[in-house]
Amino acid sequence: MERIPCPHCGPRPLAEFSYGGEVVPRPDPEPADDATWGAYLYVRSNPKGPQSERWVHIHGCRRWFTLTRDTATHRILDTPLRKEEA
Amino acid sequence: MEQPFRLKAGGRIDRTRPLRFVFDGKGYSGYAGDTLASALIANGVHLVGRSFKYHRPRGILSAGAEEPNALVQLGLEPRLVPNARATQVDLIHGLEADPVNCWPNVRRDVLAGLGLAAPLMPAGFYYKTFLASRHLWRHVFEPLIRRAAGWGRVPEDPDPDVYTHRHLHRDVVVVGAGPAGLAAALAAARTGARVALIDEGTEPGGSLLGQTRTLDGHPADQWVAEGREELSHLPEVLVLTRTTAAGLYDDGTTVVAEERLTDHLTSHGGHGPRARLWWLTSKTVILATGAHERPIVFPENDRPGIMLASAARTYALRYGALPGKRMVLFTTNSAAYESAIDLQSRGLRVEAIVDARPDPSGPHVDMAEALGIHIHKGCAVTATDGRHHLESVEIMLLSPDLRTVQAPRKLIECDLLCVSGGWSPVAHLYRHAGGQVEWNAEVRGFTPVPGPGLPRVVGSAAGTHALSQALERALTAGAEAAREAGFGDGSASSAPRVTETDALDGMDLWRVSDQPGDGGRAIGRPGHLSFVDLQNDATAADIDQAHREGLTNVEHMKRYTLTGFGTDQGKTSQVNGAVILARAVGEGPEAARLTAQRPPYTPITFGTLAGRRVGGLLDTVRETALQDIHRDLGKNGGAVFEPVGQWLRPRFYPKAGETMDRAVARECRAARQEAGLLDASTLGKIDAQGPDVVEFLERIYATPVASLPIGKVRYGLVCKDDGMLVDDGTLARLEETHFHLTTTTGNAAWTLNWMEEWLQTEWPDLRVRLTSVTEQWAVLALSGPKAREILAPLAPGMDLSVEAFPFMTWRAGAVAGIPARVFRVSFTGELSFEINVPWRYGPALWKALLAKGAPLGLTPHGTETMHVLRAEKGFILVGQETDGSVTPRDLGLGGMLKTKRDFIGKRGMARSDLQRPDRKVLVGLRTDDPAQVLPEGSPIVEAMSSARPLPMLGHVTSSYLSPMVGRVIALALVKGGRERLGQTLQVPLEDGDLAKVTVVEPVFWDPEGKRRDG
Amino acid sequence: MAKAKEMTPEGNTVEHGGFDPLAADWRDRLSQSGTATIQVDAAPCQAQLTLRGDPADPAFAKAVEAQTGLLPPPVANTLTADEHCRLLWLGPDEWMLLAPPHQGALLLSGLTVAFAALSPATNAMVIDTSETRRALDVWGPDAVQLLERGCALDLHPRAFPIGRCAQGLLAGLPVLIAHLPRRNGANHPCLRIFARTSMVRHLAWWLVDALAEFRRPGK
Ligand SMILES: [Zn+2]
Repeated sequence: MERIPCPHCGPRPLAEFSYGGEVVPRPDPEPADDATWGAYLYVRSNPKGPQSERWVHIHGCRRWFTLTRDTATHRILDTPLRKEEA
Repeated sequence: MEQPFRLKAGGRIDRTRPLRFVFDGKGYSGYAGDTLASALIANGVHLVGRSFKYHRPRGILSAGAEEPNALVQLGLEPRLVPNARATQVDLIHGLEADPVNCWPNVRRDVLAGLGLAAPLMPAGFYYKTFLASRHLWRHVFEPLIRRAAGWGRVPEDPDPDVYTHRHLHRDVVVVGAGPAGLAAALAAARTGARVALIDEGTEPGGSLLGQTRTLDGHPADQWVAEGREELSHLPEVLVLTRTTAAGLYDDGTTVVAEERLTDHLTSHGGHGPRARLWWLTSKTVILATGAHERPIVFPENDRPGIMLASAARTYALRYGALPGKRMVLFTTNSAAYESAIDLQSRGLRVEAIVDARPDPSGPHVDMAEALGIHIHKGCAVTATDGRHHLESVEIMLLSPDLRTVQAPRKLIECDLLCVSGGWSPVAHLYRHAGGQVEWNAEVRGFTPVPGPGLPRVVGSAAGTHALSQALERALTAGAEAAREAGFGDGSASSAPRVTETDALDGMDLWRVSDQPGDGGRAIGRPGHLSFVDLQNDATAADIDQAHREGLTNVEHMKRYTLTGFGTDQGKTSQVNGAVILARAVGEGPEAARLTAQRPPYTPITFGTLAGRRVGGLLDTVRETALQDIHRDLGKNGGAVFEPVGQWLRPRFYPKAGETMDRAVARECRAARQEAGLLDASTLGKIDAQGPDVVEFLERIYATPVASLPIGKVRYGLVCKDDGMLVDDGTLARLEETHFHLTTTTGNAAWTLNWMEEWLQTEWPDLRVRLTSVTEQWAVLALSGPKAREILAPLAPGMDLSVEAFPFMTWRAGAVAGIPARVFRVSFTGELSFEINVPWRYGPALWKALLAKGAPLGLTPHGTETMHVLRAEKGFILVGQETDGSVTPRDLGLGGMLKTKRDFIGKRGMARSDLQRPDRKVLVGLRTDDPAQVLPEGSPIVEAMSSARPLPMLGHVTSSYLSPMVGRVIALALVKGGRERLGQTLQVPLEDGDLAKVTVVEPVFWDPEGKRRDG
Repeated sequence: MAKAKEMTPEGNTVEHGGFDPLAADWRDRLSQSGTATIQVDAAPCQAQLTLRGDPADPAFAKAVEAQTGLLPPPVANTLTADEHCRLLWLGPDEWMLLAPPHQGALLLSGLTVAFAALSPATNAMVIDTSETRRALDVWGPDAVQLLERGCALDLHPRAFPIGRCAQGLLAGLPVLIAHLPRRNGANHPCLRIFARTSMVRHLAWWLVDALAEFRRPGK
């Protein structure tokens, strides 16, 4: 059972969280052509290594946050600072 | 004669408590404190099973978790336990155990007698056979092998036992309560830290139990007892025995362990939970998991009576049971001499020590020689004999390069062969946490490579075999772990003085060749085998074959030869197998790689993993405030529930003797002709407010928002950025910047969280607050031509006329004296009021409505009727008509979409592929046979043909028997469906029949919409 | 058209008795399941208001204090309390106000008015969510052990002393647990567990089932 560091509540069990996937910048819809929009919708870098990704503490404080996780080791490399510690 | 191999005294067994047990149909006795294995040994029983592939007789190899052979079947249905390790089964009175892999019994095994198994299954047999002929494999070989292989029987009946879980947070968790683990736990606990010490054995002490050596001048048992005593007085310390750490998770901070609670008390249940799964989350973890003695690979190394040297010593010292009368020790190191010396002191005659080292020396060698034990230096065991038990061993001289053996050949009679090929640190948990191991030439084993964020490893698990050093390092590790968790200053007390044994001054002997070096004749019998993995009958020759066939990666070799598979997961075979493969490639042990190790360390029963999440506790059941009423209605006629997400919703309310079809038909008619009442409380409800709420909702909804006046309600569509419809519902404007939104029952949580994601991550500048109010409001949908007549007397302050309360508006007021929000929306096409009241008043409203309405024909209906009514109107159901690949336009809802303003999904819908004219769109289907309900999901084709795959035009999404229309209706998604109106298509059915259908408009009831105002 | 008027349960006289998922039979089952070291009961029904706002805006905190007598707890997963009300942290800009049932309507209108006067940037809001959660109390020396059977939060008094609260999963369903100094005036601390109203019976069932283990010898 992995533990995910919520920036507000601290490390909590994975089961309290919901995964939001890799952070993909949303292109401006108007000028974006089909290829650009298609890439935004469907193409993910799927790295073996560090990935910036979104999580939400769905069964806790309901806040979304971004962290960096090594997809090969599941180690969380860059944790958002907790308010209490900041 | 009772227990002929039991010593008169000594060991940690209770001779005042004799226990009777049955093994392989025969009665025996043992003592409290015995394991099944030690009790069998005390009775002189060594033949405990047959091997997996060759059905060779097998005996007890070890005294612990690493046991590959002594697997037994325990208990009776429904409490059958397959493949229990006799070495870890606590003996209880009345225990019934049977060997596995043999029929009719262990001495007369039919398959072994026929000699059938061996030639059938060389290495890679499964793969080659499977590739050669799937047919032969499936119909001939697999059934044959499955029957022959066995490996225990699983119970057929549901598990009658209760299992429980417990989560616990600790500052320090120590796995293994041998000397190192005990020392580490003591050092950590003395700081006041929260500590857990867990051990798979029946008591802490590990290798010290029953030991002959002293600590600080006292017997080892006393030091263990004092340590236990001290820990028991510290309030924040938990000591768990009979608890196996199955896995280490989450960067090595969560130990998952199984505690066996009652198997040592009873085989009949009734003593509370049988086992507990522990989730131990710790700031730091210390692994003191010890080491497993390694067998030596030599010809015919698998007979009953061949045992690890340390295990033989454990049986004699800890259990007072002698594993033989005349023994030979075959060793590569001096540490094993201790076993021979101790066993001789307990009355066992040591016929010889066969030491692979040409020139062994040291205190233990001297001691053995002083005892008159003959030491054959530079020798190896090259063959063994004995049908059901070892009778003799043959030894020869090792060549200097250890690759061959040479004469003279010598035969030694004995009934016990103790072997020691060195020690393998138990690093399973370390590797679960991502830690690596590498060959350590000094220790002659694979030891953990320290790394950041990895657990500490102490004792022989770290390769520290000298007791004094292990204790000292463990105390330091315990104190430092506590300091890291914020307790103490990291200093530890000094380690006790210890009578030290020889260091591990061994040598490597990976395999005794079966090839004579002097050109003489072959050793042993033809076809003799040198086993690497006793449980899977994988031999050194199998590994040679794997290498010859190009499988030089250890993971490939494992799968080809099965080395390391099975219930023991290769605890005694993994290192030997890996190094033999490395040597085949021409490398040394330092180049060997071990296969991946995964949890669990030893098998865990499924019951333990499930815990109490069984039966009705499997998943959360959500209930509306009306659940008791629905159940009571059930008493009067049998309400039938169906799960919708986690909710349990009434599906229909049959009267006595009524079938579902008839009940639904009655409910449908009532809703169309008089009035129906539905508990719609499960609808998702979101309160949305804030200065920017209109802007936010405009971005979220594909349908317009800003133009909605206060007091009005609008149907809303929610799409994802790909343009596909994901949810629908209504928006009611309560105030200028305050909305009440509804979602589908199933998507409520998802939709709210999805809105929050946009709000928090993409548009944090928008000042909007979203609150789930699903359980704030109970919702009753009152629908039908008499709805107004029923509601009016209950809402005297509310003008219900069409003019004052038109369709798609909402009003606040009292209904039956309850503060309510009433929405004039309709999911049935009839005049309809969705009455929202505070959750707790749902039942009161229901009763009030039925009291007024029942005389007018008001009839409660469930979800099934709701589905029929909405399908008659062609109203879509998200998840039924949609599947994540359907746009609002596909559903004929394109006219509702905003054309100018941007919203989530707008750009997605504009993609060229979504503009194709032949997309599947929503249509109605009229079946030729008016009674033919089409299974949902049925494919739709133009006509049957021989083309494969058959070109499919779409699929049926909904189909019901409509009592009001008087025939079956169906909705479907069909390619270019609008252009096919009037066409006849075909729906292949499961039974091979074809249903003829005509494409029609997807509205079957009141197409003009005249009924919605009543 | 008249502006729609918000009404609350407390705002009107209601003649019907309200439904309580933990009414008589469930309260009996809970209390009968108690052991010498663990007691379980339904918590008293209270008004529950959800407050949202910017904690960095001193005017917001002041408005909350003026209306409730309490400041929003400055630390995550803690609560502030006086003899009438409690204010529990739910998120960095979200709190739950617990108040006696008869004060709910007054507090709601008072806070609504007070928040309307704040800067729109604070985006302050109050809403009645009294119906959305129902609470159970667990107390006694082994209360934490009971919850540890199905909750991965660290509820040890060192990590979860009186005054702490936390949201997480218990028995697989989302809960808010608060460590309160006393229960209904009785002078012992308790763990108050809030579950969604639709799930609270499942939780009660789970607790009754879990307690069976503690009544057996050797637990
Ligand atoms: Zn959180």
